[in-house]
Amino acid sequence: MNNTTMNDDLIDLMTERALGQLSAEDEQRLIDELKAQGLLDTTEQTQAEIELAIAAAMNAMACHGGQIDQTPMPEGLEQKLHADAEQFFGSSKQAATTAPAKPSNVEEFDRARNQPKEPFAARYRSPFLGWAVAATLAFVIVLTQLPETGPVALNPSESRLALIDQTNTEIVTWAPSEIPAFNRVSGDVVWNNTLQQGYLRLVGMPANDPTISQYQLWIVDPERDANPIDGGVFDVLNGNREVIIPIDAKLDVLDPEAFAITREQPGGVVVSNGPLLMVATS
Amino acid sequence: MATDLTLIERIARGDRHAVSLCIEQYSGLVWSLARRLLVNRSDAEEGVQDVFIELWRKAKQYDPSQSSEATFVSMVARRRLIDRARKEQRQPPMEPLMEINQGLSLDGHRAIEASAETQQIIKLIESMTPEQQTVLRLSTWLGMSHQAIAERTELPLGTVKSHLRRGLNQIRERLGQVESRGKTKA
Repeated sequence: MNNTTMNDDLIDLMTERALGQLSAEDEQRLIDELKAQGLLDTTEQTQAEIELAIAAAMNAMACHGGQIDQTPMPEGLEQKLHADAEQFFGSSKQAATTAPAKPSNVEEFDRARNQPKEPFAARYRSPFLGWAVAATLAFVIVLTQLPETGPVALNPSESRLALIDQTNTEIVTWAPSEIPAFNRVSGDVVWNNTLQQGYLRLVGMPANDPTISQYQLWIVDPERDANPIDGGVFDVLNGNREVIIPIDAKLDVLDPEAFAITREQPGGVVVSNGPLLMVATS
Repeated sequence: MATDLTLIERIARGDRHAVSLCIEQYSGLVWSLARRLLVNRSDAEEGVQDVFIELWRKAKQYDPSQSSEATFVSMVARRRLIDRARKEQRQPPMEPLMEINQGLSLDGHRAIEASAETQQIIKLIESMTPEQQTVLRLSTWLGMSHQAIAERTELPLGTVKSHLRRGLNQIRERLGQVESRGKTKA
């Protein structure tokens, strides 16, 4: 490691920068300090080392108490990656011995990728049919404010509001909980059955420690099954404030009658033994 | 083509087969990171594509003496995805995105769990004080800001920063010491 001459303050600043925490003012202070101490030449290497350490820590955390996401990679994405690689590296017949790590056609590739995107409808792969596809696309286009400059992502709060504006969206409020720790929790569930999308809004939900337990949403849908549908696990890491949680239904929901929250082991369970901490009934 | 090289090293040498293997091995990991760092699903898809292009470009910069391949992939992915989030004029992946609550996919998990380096880093983290472990977890895994960590843990901001600096320094030192990099054979 080559930063032995850097003092703690400089390392703090570089760590903050690597973590995306550095203000513009501190960024300038960092540069000035590095210049003053003649360390600018070693900055890039040190920064890369810090970023590697963050990535290593992130990977370790993922394997050590991190949450396992059951959401599979989107269908077709891997094919797109292979197609990108084909375009990037050129013809598959190209010799494999002379190292096109940065091939001659990079500029052409960049130009191609920066072309106006193909119509969203052509890129979007929806599991729904006919009118449902049209409704979904209309919603997504509203959400992302496409089309020429690419999608503009909304945060969960904005996405929830956009969903509320859609037809067929229902809002149900959480009933007062009978469990003391939760009886002051309020909020609602927004659900659109056509789009199969929804959000939980919880105000004052007690924080959980994800390494010990996680909240899990259940969607009661007797039309679908006697057992509730798993609506995904989530954490509330900062209690006494409003949180918006996207619903992650593991199965298509037919006619939801109620939404309920339980607290389960990290990662959730297939069948819950309760108790029901919060319930919202349609 | 020598098979004792990692996939990224093979790609840097122009091995086209390694490109396909790299996509198969790491797309799940990169997708998981994209879902953690980018709110919008379609944005995450494009983010994954960006990351792999960046990997092809950076392949020659990979130094197996510095880190495992999975760590390098995660570093490139994290950097690229944060850049993308910023370009979209959103906040970088800080506290509010925790509520999105994406974990690591099973495929992503498998891509890194077998790494000797990851096992070493897990042991190292386990040797840290509980307070330091918490700060590292909240920062690197959940992406919380220093200030938010200080509020949550009720530690002084300076203590949060020093825990992070010391923890990451320990990991940096360990990265240089891990001898077995778990090279991928194909």
